[in-house]
Amino acid sequence: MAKEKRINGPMVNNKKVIRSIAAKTVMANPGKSLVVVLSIALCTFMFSALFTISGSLIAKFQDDTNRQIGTSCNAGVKYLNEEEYNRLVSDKSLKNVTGSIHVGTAVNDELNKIFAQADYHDEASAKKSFCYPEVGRLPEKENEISVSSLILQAFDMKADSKEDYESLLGKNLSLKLSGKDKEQTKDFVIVGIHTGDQVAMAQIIVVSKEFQEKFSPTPTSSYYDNAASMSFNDCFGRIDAEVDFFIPLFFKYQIEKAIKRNGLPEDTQYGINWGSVGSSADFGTIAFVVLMLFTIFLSGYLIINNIYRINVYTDIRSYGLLKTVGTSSKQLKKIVNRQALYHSVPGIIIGITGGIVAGSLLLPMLMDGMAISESIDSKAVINIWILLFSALFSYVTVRISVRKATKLASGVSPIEALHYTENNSFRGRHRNHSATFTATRFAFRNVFKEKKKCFFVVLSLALSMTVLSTVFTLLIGFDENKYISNFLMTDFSVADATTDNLAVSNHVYDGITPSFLDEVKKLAGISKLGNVYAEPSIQNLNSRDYSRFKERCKRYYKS
Amino acid sequence: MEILRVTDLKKTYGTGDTAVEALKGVNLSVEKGEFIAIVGTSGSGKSTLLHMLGGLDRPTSGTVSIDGKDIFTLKDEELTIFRRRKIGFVFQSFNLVPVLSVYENIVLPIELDGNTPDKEFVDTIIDTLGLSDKRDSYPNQLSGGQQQRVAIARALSSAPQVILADEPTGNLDSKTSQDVMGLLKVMGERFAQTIIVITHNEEIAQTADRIIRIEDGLIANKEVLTWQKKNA
Ligand SMILES: Nc1ncnc2c1ncn2[C@@H]1O[C@H](COP(=O)(O)OP(=O)(O)OP(=O)(O)O)[C@@H](O)[C@H]1O
Ligand SMILES: [Mg+2]
Repeated sequence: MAKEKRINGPMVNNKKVIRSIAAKTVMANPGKSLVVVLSIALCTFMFSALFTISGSLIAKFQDDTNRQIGTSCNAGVKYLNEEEYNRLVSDKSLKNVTGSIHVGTAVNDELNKIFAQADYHDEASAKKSFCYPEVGRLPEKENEISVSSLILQAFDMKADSKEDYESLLGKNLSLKLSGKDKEQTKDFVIVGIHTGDQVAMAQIIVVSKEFQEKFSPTPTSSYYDNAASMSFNDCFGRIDAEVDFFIPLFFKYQIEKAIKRNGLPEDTQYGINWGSVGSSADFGTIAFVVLMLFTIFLSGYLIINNIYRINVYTDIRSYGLLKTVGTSSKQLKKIVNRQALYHSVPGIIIGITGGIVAGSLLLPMLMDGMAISESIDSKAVINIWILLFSALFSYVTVRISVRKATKLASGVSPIEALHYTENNSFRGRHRNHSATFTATRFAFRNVFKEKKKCFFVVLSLALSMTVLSTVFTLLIGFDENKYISNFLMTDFSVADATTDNLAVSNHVYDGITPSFLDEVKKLAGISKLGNVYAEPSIQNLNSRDYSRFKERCKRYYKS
Repeated sequence: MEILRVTDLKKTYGTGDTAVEALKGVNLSVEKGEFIAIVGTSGSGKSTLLHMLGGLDRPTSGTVSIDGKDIFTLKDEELTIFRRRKIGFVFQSFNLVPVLSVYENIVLPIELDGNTPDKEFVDTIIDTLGLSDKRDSYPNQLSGGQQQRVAIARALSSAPQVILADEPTGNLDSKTSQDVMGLLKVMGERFAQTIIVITHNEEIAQTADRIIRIEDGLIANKEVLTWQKKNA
């Protein structure tokens, strides 16, 4: 329309009056605003607590399995020569590639119960493989080593704390190393110590590059060229490449692609970090997680949405009036959006703070009941992205809810608002001048008149509670005994330590004697006793069968 | 000078059996500065007419022109803006935004329009209406009469073309009603406003320049009364 002559001075921004109306509406009814803020806080709390706990648990499990496997990389490519390894290193599509070289196995008698592996690690690899020295440094000279504290303990050295470690630096350690077709006993100097982990499959002795080159030089031929190789013996000196991907998902697919891309032999052996969430993500799991997330979000959305709608409903008379005196729909929208901001900011802050606190308090309780090794602490992993995401999600939910509410508010025709104003009802006929408007009356009327809406509010609250309790029950209900019974049938199992130590060649199979069993039977509280028998056997294969067997192994490793 | 013209204005609420013909073809012309009273029995269509005049609702057929502009050619959003610039409203009750102070309520249409209130002009209105010591009060701290005076102040503050009032004294006792109507009339004269008031009070109606009687959706008289006197 044509610009009208203005009688009231120069044009100014009308933002001020919009903001002031929004702020004053929020402040005018503290009780109502509090309910809105609390509903937003509740949702944010739900998201952030849930994400903090589940995120932390995933991180802990991940860490736990990583420590068992001995690496935190996404995947590893095994038995490479220098040239093959460098091809991977220069592959730009891989996030990072580090290398370690298998040098030998320590087979001192003291290490009967421990699989002690001597490796060369570069710095990055040592960090990734949990063997970077906490005290001291990585070895440089030929006779230097950095070792796991558990190995030192096996040699009866006191290595329980950092102070112990300090005092052990510079001490000598005599190791009997077994490599390719050889065995050598050598005095090493300890220059670094890292805390060994009971759950790890192997305890690491890091040796220098110089020693590695002497003891187990990296062959120039490819491991995979020689059809006759594929023996454990030929692994010495080979480089294991540890690989991280830019997108930590679908490791198997990615590593196979990388092997192909870099022209490595087709039958190159690789391993993926099976402990990683990304590695085991199959369609079913993803679908379940998505469904769970969807349910959580839906419940949050329903809470905020309904509370907000009620909030706008109770203000609708004001909106109608504002419209009759000339507030445009656009301006009304701005007023409601402003209010949303004033509600969201404190709501989200309260929610996130509460979520972190609750998550941190609950996590130790949850972890207490789970099969996570003691070396993992129970401090919550506070992920800034998760928190930002929770905040963002709450805010977006508020905005979506508000959009509906503003539509409602700005869609009110002034005439309807007038009837509403004068008659407390949209029907113009039945007048009741004495009927005064009160919030309680309105609330009651709303609840009974708007059955559908009422149903949704109750549903959303119930849903969120259900989701919360389901998740917690799932977590708390984790039955460790059941889990362990997958691996172990009894409370105790006794065996000679050499029976399952890969590093020992002379397994002792008669460690458990009949007289030992008799003694055990006499102990109080034994309800059942059983034996597992084992016998070492060597299968004699003719050359045809041997090559077939090898073929099978190859295929097995590849899959 | 003609400020408002209504031609063959019809309004039907609902459809079919439940349809109510609230206005059945109203024709009306209002001169600038007139003070008009609309009277009629309950349900005769007074409020409906007033809402059409102010662009609060759209007619079934017919036109309303204010200052030569056919207002129903405007889109909703434009009509809202037109309303806040050209028309002041006073209703029977709930005229004021409860969270805003008296002063803020009075200057609301101006500020919504993105303008700075002309302080002197607004102060004059506030003083004349006897609201000086209530500027910072909130609506719920005021008596009914005071609230209606604030509503009148708001209607005047943006210096509109027309002020429309629907039973502005309907909730007040007769003494206060007289005061408020008196003020409305005085203010109208003072600021050369065109004012159209719906009232059930014959006494009040008699003080108008012209009384328009609505019966069953039609204007039932062509009385001009004081209007003629004034021009004589
Ligand atoms: N929104 C509406 N929907 C349906 N019918 C309506 C609506 N508004 C008014 N009416 C009907 O239109 C007719 C005229 O109503 P209107 O409000 O204009 O009467 P009125 O003269 O102002 O009466 P009162 O003196 O009681 O205020 C009435 O029959 C009324 O019931
Ligand atoms: Mg009426």
